[in-house]
Amino acid sequence: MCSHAASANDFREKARQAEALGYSTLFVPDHFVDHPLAPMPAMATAAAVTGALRVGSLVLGNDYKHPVVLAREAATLDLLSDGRLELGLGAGWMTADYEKAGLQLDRPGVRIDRLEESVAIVKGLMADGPFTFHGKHYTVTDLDGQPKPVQQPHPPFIIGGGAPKILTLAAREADIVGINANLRGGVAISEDAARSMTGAATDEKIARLRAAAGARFEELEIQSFVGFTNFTDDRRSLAEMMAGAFGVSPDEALETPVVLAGTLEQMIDDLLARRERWHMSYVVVGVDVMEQFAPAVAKLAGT
Amino acid sequence: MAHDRRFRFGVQASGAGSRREWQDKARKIEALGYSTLYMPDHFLDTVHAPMIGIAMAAEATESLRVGTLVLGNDYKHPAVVAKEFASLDVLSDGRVEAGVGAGWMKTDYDALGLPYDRPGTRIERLGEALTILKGAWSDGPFSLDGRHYTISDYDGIPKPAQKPHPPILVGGGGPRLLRLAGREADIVGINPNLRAGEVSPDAVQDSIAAMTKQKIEWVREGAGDRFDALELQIRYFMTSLTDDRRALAEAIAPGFGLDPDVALESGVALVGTVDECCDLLTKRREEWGVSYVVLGDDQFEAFAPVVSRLAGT
Repeated sequence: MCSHAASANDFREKARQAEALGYSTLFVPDHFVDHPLAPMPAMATAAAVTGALRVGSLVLGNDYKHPVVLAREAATLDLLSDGRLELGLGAGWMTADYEKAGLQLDRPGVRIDRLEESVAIVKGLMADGPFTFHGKHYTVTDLDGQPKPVQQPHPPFIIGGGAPKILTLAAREADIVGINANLRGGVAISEDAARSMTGAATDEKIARLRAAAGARFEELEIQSFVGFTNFTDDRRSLAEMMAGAFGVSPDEALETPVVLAGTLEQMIDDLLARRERWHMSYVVVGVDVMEQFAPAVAKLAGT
Repeated sequence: MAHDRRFRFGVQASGAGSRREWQDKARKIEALGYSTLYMPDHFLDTVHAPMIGIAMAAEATESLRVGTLVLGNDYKHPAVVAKEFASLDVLSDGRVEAGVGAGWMKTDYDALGLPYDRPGTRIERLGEALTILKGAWSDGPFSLDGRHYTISDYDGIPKPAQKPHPPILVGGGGPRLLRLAGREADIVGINPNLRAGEVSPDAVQDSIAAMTKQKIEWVREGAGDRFDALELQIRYFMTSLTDDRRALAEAIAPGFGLDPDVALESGVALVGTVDECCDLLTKRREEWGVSYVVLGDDQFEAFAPVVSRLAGT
C-alpha cells in the first residue's frame, strides 16, 4: 500500500522494488486527506514502469466518482496495463473526505446501496453490448462501455469493509474480500474500530461472509490489510502498549489481523495461523515496511 | 509577463488498442516535434479514459507534455480532478496541461444519467471548478461556498510540480465561456460553439474566420490586462496536406453548407501545401495571436513537415 512519494522517481522506484521483492500488487488508497497520490494516475504510472506487478485500489471511495466514469477508467487501466488491475471499491467512510469536498455523507446503508449499484454498473459496462440500469441512485441508458478490459469478464473486484451489510455484498459480488474494521466512526483509528477487529470479531465476520457467500465462499480470496507492522524482539511489551491505546487486551492486540508484531519468524507463524483460521491468504502491508517484510514474502508467496 | 507566441503543436488522440501501441504513438508524437499529447473526454466514440491514457503516455516519453482537451467538468467532482492533475503533474515531473470545459456533448450526459443543464449553468459550474482547482493547488487550506460546490478548509494534496500550478486550458466557443477563459485560463482554446449538443451545421457556420475573430475579442474582454499573457490555441478539424486546396475545398465545402472560399478561411481549416499551411498559420498568429496548433490523431504524421518548420519559431 503506497500513497506517498518524495518525487516521481521515488514512486517509480518503489513500484519496481515491490515487483523485484516478489510482491504481487501495489495498492493505492483514495482519500482527500493524508494520502497525497490520487489512485488512478498513480496506478497507471506504476503499471507503466513494471512488467508483471499488479496494481490496485484499496479502495476507491464510491461516492467520489460516478460509476460510469469509474468503469471507463478501470477498463482503460486494465487494457493499458495488459490485464493487471485489481479494482478495489468501498462505500466511502472517512468523514473528512466528505467534509472537505462538500459531499453529502449519507448514512452507511445508503452508501452501501450506492456501492451495490455501482458494482452492477461497472460490471455491466465491462460486459459485451449495450447496458441499461435504472437504480435508485444511478441511471444508465443503453450504453456500451468502452473500452472493454483485458481480464474477462472483468478485473477482480475487491470489496472491503467491516459491517455486516457490506460483507454480504462482498460475498455476492467480490472476487477478493477485504476484511476490515468497521469504520462507522468515520476515522481510521478508534477504540470502536479496534474492538471490531479482534480475533473473535474477525471470526464473526468470516462466519457471516461464509454464510452469505454459500458455495461462492470457496472461490473468494480473503485479504487483510495489516496497518500496523512492527518488527520487535519483545512483542509482549509492544502488545501491552497497543492494548492500552486501543482498549483491547494485549492478547487481542496480537491476534487481530490488522497487526503483525514480533520477529520475522513470529510474523510468518501468525500469517500461517491466520490463513488456517480465517482463510486470509492475501496480505497487504504498508510501503514503509516493504523491504523489512520482504523475507516473509520470499518465504510465503506462492506457497 | 507577455506570452512569446512561439509556435507549438499538439495532437489530440483518443487512444489505441494496447499499451505498446499507445506508448509507441506517444513516442512518435514526441519525436516529430509536437509539444503536447491531448486526450478528449467523452463516453461514446472515444477509446480511453483520458486521465489513465495521459499518465501512460507521460511515462513512455521524456519531455512530451500531456493534457486533456478537454475534461467535461460535470463528469467528475473538481476536488477529484484537482487531485488527479496534481498527482499526474508530480509523477510526470511537471508536464501536465489541465484542460477543462463546461461539457457540451449531449450523449455524454445521457450516458451518465446527468441533467443537461442550460449552458449558463454549466459555465457557472465550470467557473467554480476553476476556483477549486486553483485553490487546491495553492499553499494552505481554502474554502468555497459556491452555488454548485462547497469546499471546507481543504488543503489540497499533493501540490503540483509546476508553480503556481499546471497551465489551465479552457476551451469553448461562446461569449460567456470565452470571457471566463480569458479571465481564468493560461491557454484558451478557440472552438466552434457547440450549443447544439453535437457537431452540427451550426458549429461549422460558427467557425468561419469572422466568427473566430469575434471569439478572440470575447477572450480579450474577459482577459483585460492579462490578454498578452495568454496562449491562444485552435484545434484544427479540417486538415489536409494537398497540392490543390481549391479542388479539395470545392469537393467538401458544400457538404458543410459553406462556400469553398469561406471554408478555406475557416478558423478550423488548415488545407494546402506545406508552404501554404505554414503561411496560413503565420498569418493567423499575426492577425489573431493564435500560436498553439492542435491536430487530430489521423493527421499528425502528415503534418510533421509543418511542425518541423514552425515549432519554436
